[in-house]
Amino acid sequence: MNTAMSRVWPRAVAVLALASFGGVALAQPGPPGRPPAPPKSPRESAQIDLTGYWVALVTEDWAWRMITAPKGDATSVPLNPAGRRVAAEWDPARDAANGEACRPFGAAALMRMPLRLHVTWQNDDTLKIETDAGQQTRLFHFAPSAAANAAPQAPANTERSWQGLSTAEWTRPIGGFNPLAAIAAGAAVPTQSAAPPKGALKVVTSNLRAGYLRKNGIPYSENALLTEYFSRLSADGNDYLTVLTVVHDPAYLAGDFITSSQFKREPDAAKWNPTPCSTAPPRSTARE
Amino acid sequence: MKRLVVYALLATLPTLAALAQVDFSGEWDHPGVFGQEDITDRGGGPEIGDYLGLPLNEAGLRKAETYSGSWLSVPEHQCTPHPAAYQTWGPNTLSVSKVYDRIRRVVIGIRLDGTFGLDRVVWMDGRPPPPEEALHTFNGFSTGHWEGDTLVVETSHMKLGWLRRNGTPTSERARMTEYYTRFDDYLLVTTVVDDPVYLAEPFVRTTEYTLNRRPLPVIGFPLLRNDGPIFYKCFPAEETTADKHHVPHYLPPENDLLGEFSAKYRIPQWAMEAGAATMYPEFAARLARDDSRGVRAAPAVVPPRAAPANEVRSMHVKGGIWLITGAGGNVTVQVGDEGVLVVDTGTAEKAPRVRDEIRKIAGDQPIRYIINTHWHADHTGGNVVLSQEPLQRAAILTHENVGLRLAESHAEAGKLVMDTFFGDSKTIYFNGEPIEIIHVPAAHTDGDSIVFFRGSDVVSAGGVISTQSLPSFDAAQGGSVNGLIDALNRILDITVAETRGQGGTIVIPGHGRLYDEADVAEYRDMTVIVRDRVQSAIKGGKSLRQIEQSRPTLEYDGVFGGDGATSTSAAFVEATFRSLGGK
Repeated sequence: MNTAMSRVWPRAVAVLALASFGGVALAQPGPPGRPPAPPKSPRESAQIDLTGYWVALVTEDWAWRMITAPKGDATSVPLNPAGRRVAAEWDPARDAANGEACRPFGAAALMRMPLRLHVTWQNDDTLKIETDAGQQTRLFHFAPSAAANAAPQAPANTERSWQGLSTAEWTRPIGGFNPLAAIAAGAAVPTQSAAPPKGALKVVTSNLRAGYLRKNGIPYSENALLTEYFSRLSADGNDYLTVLTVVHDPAYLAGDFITSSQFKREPDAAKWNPTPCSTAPPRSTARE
Repeated sequence: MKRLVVYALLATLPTLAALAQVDFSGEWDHPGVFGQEDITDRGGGPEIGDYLGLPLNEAGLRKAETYSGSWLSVPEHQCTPHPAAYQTWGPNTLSVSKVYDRIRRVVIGIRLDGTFGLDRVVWMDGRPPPPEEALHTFNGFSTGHWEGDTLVVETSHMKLGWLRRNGTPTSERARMTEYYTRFDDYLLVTTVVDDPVYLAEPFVRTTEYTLNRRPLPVIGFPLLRNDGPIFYKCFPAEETTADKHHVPHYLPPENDLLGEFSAKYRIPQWAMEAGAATMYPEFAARLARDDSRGVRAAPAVVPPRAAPANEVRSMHVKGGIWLITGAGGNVTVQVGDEGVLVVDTGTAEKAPRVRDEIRKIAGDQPIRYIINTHWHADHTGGNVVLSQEPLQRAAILTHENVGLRLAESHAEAGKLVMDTFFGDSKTIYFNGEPIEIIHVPAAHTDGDSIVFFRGSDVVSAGGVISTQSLPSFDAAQGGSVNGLIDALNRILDITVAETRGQGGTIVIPGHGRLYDEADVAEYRDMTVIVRDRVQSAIKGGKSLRQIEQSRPTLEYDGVFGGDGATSTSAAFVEATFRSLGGK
């Protein structure tokens, strides 16, 4: 073994051993000879902490989120002809009279609304998101991963709701360290703190009541399937929560409607302002 | 031992797969064509006056409200690409690939391509950022690291950019952090822009992409897929009959387009000027009440600037040209077979250190020529020391007025024999390239020259440009605002950008960081815009004090002006006022 190799091989072993240890740790087996430890609950195994108060930062689609757009304005939304017909029939007064004022606050649009979130654990298996505007509550039920990727199956006779039925899973932490590259580059052996595992929350929602993607009656059907990815990041001393939202609804959409929204952490509930579902009238009848 | 290592490797292979970093390589599309958010802005373009949802402060608002869409007709701005802070919002698809070290075959960077024309490399090899004096680019300098499965990219050294294509700015002092996270076949990019000059708080934007699984996806602007090179290699065109040096802008109260957006959307004008408050949910209720009380963009802040480097150090610029900083004023050094040529010599105090630094660059090569761009002591103070050569003293070349001013000031440098010229320019051929010494009259002083190294494609601008202060000139020394503008335009007549308005000819200012054509154009624009504001106010019968109160340099103070005792704002406004005949 030449001199260079004699330096590389021990480093390789050290790095790979650490990597191997990391993989074992992820699998959570018990020590040899002992019964395996009971699996951690979703709450215990949370890779990111989403709990707390969060405020929407409306820096995108302002004119469709902060104010009500004119009837029929479906800018950016891939509505199909059936969707456009339904959008043209939008009547907020009728919605209110029918007790359906919360149509714009359904799960497919809720995270896009200008509002605050309060995220808590309802129990070890259920993450709860409440909103101040619209006073909605979403419940994310954790399930075995095989079930989480499929549309949630509601028990028979389960009523459809604005927030539907959501199953959730923590996405697998993949890690940010490439041991082979580190060995080749002569990098120091990494520590866990140098590249902490960090995942995301994937949520799939179905069993929805038909609602609106936007306040001005841009529709989604009760058969819409919603897939969301929640993640967290920190920058410049602020904590942010991001949500990537995919609405799949062949009834009214020609393709998936994909958006992402961002929230900033707030220290407490000082600005929490619960208000019932309501829709301000459009500021103009046309924008041309 | 070897066998053990092999076993260890085999045993850990599955784990390696699990721990391998997320691979974003491939082609990524916006959902739809341009994405499914802000399609109006990203397609046809946003409207002038739409500043909603942006945390602009007063300075950012001023910059936006005085912006003219005709800015893009200016030759130096025509090819401006989407800056880094806007790129993901642009219409292009995103192509991600790895950059390998050719020898070690390890990934040293991640290339982000297709963002409307400019490749961008995120360096993953831990390289340090360039020095403060280095050139800024529209992409900036980016380094990346992994936080779990998220690629975190930090970017500095950006040029003036924008958040929306309606003049809402980001300054060259902005820093950007991006987070690239892959969820199944979706890529989410979260962009956080922190700009102490134009923003009251960080601006956050998220952009999503979908994985393009087509066998041979075409990268680039989807509607012009066969015309990629045109976007890449853009050359300015003559689009109007206006003077090529014309700088389109609106005087602060005169932009009549601002009301159009407000009227179209029936949103009161006060909302456009509310800054960061417009990002938050409670603003909707305030809007419904038409309640403007206490809502206004945050005051402009002049962020502290690090003191100019006191340490004398050098960096290679281009061709045979080097820059020495920390000498009081910038020192340009040309090195070649014939010896050393120096443009400006810094202060007398720093001259020995400058001489040492030149020796580091040029070895024992003698200094043959010194060119003084103007007579100030921070540019001529080192003449005595640097001109001392054992066999033959270095010749000092200046415009005649420099010699006269030095003589009048009884400076030591004035006692040296100088080879002066009276006309518009003087040319010499040294170290294998023509060098033009071009007199720019009545600019910073009455004796200014700029020095153009034709072969190296570098201009040494002397007192005409300082990136650390607002423009400076003294009528008592023959300077004037219009002469300064003419000098800046003269430089722009020389510079040729390499790609999309940046690179190409490099300009070394008298103080501060390296510039290129886009930077000089922005500096020229600033000088013209402030000149026009002061001139308009003089015509309107305003006094100097009234003009100062209108803060004609508001959006430039945070970039150039300095704060408190270091502020150059008042001096610039007063000099401009006097220069334009204000009483």
